[in-house]
Amino acid sequence: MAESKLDLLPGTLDLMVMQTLAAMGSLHGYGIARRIEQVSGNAVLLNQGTIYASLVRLQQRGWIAAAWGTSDNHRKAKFYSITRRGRKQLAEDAAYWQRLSGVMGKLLAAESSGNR
Amino acid sequence: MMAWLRQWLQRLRACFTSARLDDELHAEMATHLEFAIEENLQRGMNAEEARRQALIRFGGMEQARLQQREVRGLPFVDILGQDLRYALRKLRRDRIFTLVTVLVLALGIGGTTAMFSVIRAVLLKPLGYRDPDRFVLVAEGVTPIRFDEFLAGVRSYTGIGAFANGTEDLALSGIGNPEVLKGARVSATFLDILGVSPLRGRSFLPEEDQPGAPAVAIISEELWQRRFGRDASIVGKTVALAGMPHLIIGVLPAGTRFPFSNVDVWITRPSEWSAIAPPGRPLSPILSVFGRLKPQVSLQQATAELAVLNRQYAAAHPGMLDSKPDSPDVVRPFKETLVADVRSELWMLFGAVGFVLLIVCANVASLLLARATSRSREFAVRAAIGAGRQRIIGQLLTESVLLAALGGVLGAGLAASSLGSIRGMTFVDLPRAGEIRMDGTVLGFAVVLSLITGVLFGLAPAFTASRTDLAGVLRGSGEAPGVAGSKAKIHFGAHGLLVVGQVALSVVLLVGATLLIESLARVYRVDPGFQTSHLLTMNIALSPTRYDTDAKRARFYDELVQRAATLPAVHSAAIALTLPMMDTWMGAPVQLAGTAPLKLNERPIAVIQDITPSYFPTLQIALRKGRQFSDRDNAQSVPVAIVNENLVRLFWPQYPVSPDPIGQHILLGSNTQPMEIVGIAPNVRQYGRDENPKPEVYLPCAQKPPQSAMLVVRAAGDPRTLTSAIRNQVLVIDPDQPVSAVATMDELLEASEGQLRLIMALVAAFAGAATLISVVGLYGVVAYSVAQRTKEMGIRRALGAQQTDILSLVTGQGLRLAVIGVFLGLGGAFAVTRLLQDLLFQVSATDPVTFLAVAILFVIVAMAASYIPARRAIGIDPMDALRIG
Repeated sequence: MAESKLDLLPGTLDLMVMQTLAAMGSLHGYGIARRIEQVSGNAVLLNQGTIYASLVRLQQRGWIAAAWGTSDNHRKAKFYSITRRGRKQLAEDAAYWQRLSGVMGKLLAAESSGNR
Repeated sequence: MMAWLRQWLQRLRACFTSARLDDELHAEMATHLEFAIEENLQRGMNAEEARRQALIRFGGMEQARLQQREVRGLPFVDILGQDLRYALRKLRRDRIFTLVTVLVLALGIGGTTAMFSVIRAVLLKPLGYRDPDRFVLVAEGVTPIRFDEFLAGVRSYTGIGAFANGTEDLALSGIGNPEVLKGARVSATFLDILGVSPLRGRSFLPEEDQPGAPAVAIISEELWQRRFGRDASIVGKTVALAGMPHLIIGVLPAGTRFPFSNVDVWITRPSEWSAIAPPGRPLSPILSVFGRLKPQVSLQQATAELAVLNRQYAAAHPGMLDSKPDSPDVVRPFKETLVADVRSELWMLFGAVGFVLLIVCANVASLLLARATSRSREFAVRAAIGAGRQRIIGQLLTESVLLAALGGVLGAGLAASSLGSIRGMTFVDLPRAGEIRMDGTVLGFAVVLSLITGVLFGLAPAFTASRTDLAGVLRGSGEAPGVAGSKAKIHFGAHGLLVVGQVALSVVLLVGATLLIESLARVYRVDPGFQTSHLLTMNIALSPTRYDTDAKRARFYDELVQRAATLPAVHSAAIALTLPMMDTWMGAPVQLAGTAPLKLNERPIAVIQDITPSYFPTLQIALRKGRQFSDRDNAQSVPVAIVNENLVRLFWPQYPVSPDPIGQHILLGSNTQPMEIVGIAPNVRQYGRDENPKPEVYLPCAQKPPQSAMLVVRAAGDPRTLTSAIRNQVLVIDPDQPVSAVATMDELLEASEGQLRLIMALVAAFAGAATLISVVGLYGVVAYSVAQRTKEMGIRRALGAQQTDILSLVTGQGLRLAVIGVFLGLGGAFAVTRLLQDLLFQVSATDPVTFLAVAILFVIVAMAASYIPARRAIGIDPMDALRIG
């Protein structure tokens, strides 16, 4: 049986969206969702629809901006990009996550060696 | 922090642009799907599969939409809107229920709001003076001598002054119709102490308080408007007041109710109050002392200083009337003294109307509870399709608060429309009544009250309803919570509690109302001591300049009485210093002549009445003994007096046995000439039927004609019709002489009982409403339980229960609730009716007969209320009832 996909912890989707936009520049909702799926190697359980709640929340906080535009295949789509305040927030959140995952990693390593 | 604030503002904005945002999201999601389908097609899926996969990956369009809506907007606002719309729809459908509930609530909220507006204006709002807490009443009943010493001794005040203890009748003459104005004598410094500035002109100057200073007057804005048409050049004009020219120096703003309400004119020199003849003034306790405390001085410190000064004064003047070394004088904020008479009564009425509101709440709660039970299927369905308990409670609370808000709006309207008549109740002396109005605070009170009311009566039904047994209800056999009908005894649960509460509160109000009604009935049974009907009374205040001698005054009164008595439809007429049922009276220390002279403050005080010989016949008072005054009792003859029986008993406790008081002599006040007692009059209720008579001394008017007196006329028919005829006779004698305070004796009598009557009427109305509501509530709960137990009744009948068994079962249940409520209510009444003690007349606040009577009455009514549903229970056909199940 294939390994089950990862449930998203609360708040992580927002971080993923901002990181994606910081790396890729301007993207529409579908592009963001696909990019997250690709980068995670399809390991994240993502209902693509949930991304729109995240997008509106980030927008209301002023961390990303949105504008209607035309895609490569000439479709009207809403394009999102990260703002200056968003980059600052992203840096803070990324640092926090790195510290947290570092701590978690060490802790779990110590636990498993203790169990042996 | 900024990000949060921005987010909330955006969310608020999103509430108003919801439709546009939905459209955008819809377009966005459509594009999303197109992108996905396109990509899937490129991977080689067929069109149908590409679309299916795209939808799967998207994970539910509707959920995504809801999720975004919840994140971007304010979900509770949306929910509130939904609940409100739903509640409105529901209430519109149940019109009768809504109408009854809103009306009952409007009565409760309206009554409470109206009472609050009175309490706020009279008791809570600070006086319109600067720093009103520092503005104090220092002492009452102070002689001018004591006041002067006091002025020299005090240290606690930035300013101190005095006012004469009563108004002064000042005839305004020389311009248009003569009119009697209400004057107040105050210290020249009074405006500085009050912290009020004149609207026009200036305050009094200190030198204008000196004897012999030019006569100046400050008038009220009302008088300025009424008599002078807001004449801009009023300051500097001279008018004749009491026959003496007075220079008008200022106009005070409307609402300056110091020292009394409705003062027209303020004049200086409080110790020269014209109600007392000049020689007696320095010795008469006619002044009240007021002042403004220094910032650092507390009321306790000022009171302590007052006690020291009182002891010094008493030591220096042991014989003075106000020489009381152990005087309990306490320095109090002026506002407190202003409202001392009505404070407890107003709070009592507020409490009573609050009881009514509580009963209303309990009643509506019980209605809602019954309604919630009949709606249990609706709630079960809502729960089944995913409404959480909170949502159902929220929905029900929205409904009850909406009901309360509707009731509140109507109630505030009721309160506002009642305020006019409250202000206009002249027969009760309500201080600051003119300030009663519907302002922001009162409206705010109504709003908060409605909200609290809504939550209060909505909470229990909401929680009960939300606990519905889902599966049971949907299956169709669900029993409403709180009505477990399996046992012989019904457990009314919340219903029962609510009814018991209503009954208990009603019983408290009923006991209070009954005590008051009994008091009033007893007051009416008291014989006032004279024949009150067909009497017309009016005040005649003679000018101290034009009627400056006893002879002139005596001649005027004599002529007036003769002229009035000869009018057609007049039986007789008389002059008296004051009349029974008026608030004011003159007193003097009295002692027997020929015994060791007592200090003035050790002698008993007797009421003094100067009367013309026709007084006793006019009031139809028959003397017990001796003779009436006659025209021969005049300034040249020996001083004589008629005394009442109470005074006789003061000096001859064994009266009427021995010795005979007729022919004995008494001394009045500082007067050294003894007066011979020539007659004994029965006691007359002087100040209302509920006040015990005081010792009284009648003197011949001709020997001591007062400056201001009452004319009393006994008419053959309606006394009111004589008013203008008598006024004309006065003008014939003196065209500058006004009359004032025209009233029939019946009106005076009514006014003297006005407060008791009003409070009785209000409490009785509250109690009546409360009883009606709670009996209907009791009926409702019993009827409801019968309806719920139709099947059980059927089974009982089928198993052989007789009609009487069913009857006693059902009425017994109603009765049980009523009896519990009545007992609780009697306990409550026992605890609170003592607040009424001051109002009651010859009835104890815990009168056992009243308590018992109310209890029995209520139980009988409760039995009747439960009998009706019991009849219905008997009528249940066992077969029908069983088939329903």
